[in-house]
Amino acid sequence: MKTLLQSYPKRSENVAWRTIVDKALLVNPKDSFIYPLNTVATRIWELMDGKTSSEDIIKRLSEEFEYEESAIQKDTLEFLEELQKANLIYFE
Amino acid sequence: MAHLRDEVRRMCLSLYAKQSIRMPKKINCSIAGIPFSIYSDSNEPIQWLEENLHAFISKSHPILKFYLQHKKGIHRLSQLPEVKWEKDSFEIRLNGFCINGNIPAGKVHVQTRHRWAVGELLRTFFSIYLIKREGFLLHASCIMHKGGAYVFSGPSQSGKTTIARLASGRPVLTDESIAIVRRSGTYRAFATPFYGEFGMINKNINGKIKALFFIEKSNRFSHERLTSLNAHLELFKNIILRGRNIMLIKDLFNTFSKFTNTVPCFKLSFRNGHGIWGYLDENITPILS
Repeated sequence: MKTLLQSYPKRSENVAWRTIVDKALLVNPKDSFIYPLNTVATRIWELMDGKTSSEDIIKRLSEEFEYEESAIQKDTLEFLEELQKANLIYFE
Repeated sequence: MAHLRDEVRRMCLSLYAKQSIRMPKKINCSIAGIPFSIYSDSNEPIQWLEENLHAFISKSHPILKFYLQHKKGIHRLSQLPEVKWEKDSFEIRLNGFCINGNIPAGKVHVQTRHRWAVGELLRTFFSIYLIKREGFLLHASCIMHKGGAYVFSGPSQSGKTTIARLASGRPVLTDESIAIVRRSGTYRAFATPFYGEFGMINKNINGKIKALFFIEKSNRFSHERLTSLNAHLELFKNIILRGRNIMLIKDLFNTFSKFTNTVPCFKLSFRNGHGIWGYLDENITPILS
């Protein structure tokens, strides 16, 4: 069974989104909820193409942002779980 | 002789009655600069429109023709309409209505189990149709000031009607919902018949938008220019969109992007009182083009 780290998160096709300057805004037409993301969350969102594993996303974030990898891993996995609960992403 | 006269009168009345049934029940209106006709197989919708949309009755040649057909079998659906829009053809299904149309043909067929709810039909249709024309409906009051439209948007109780009441003789387009339409690279605000506490709209007027304010009541005046991101967020919170469809949301992202690049958007906290126009003239009007 794949762990969350080994899975490939993918943005739902049913969510409309746009990056404005460096922050994304997601809109789910099904429930009309709006999700403004911060800069790091936006980068995670952009990397979730279904071809990049969670582990690789964390590695990329560690290279791009000056945070400890363990903190990035914890925050990223929590964020992915939240997105999945809100039906904004799924795992391939 | 009297008997014959009565008979002729009866025949005439009968003939007149038959003719009046066949007469098309039609009205021409215009919302957001879009002229349209509504034909109906019953009198009630036309009567409702004549009473409630008299400021929007138009003599312009219609680009859309609505054909209303009363039908009992149209079922209740979820509160938000389902929208299918492919190229120029569309289907909108909502509570008690089924709307099919083709935009280039200018024909919109409506089957409805309601005899009166034409306002709901028009609000739903225009909330979607305007998006396809790079515009949108917004919860907002709108007041003409110094040759331009000042738009004040916010949810219920944010102060839209309060500001409309403080217009001090300036023309009020609406205190509840405006149509925003792109024209020649600028944006114009149009009055709509979807009025609020202020009452029925008496004039169908429009104006070039000078600024959009997302308002909140406060004990003092303050303002802040919004970034494009925050303006997008506020627009999504306050838009009137009666339909669930991802393509509409994608279209809105494009429209909001152009809009926020063209029209300055502010957050405005205001105190209830007549100082609002003085505050705007001192702090905002000078920086507007």
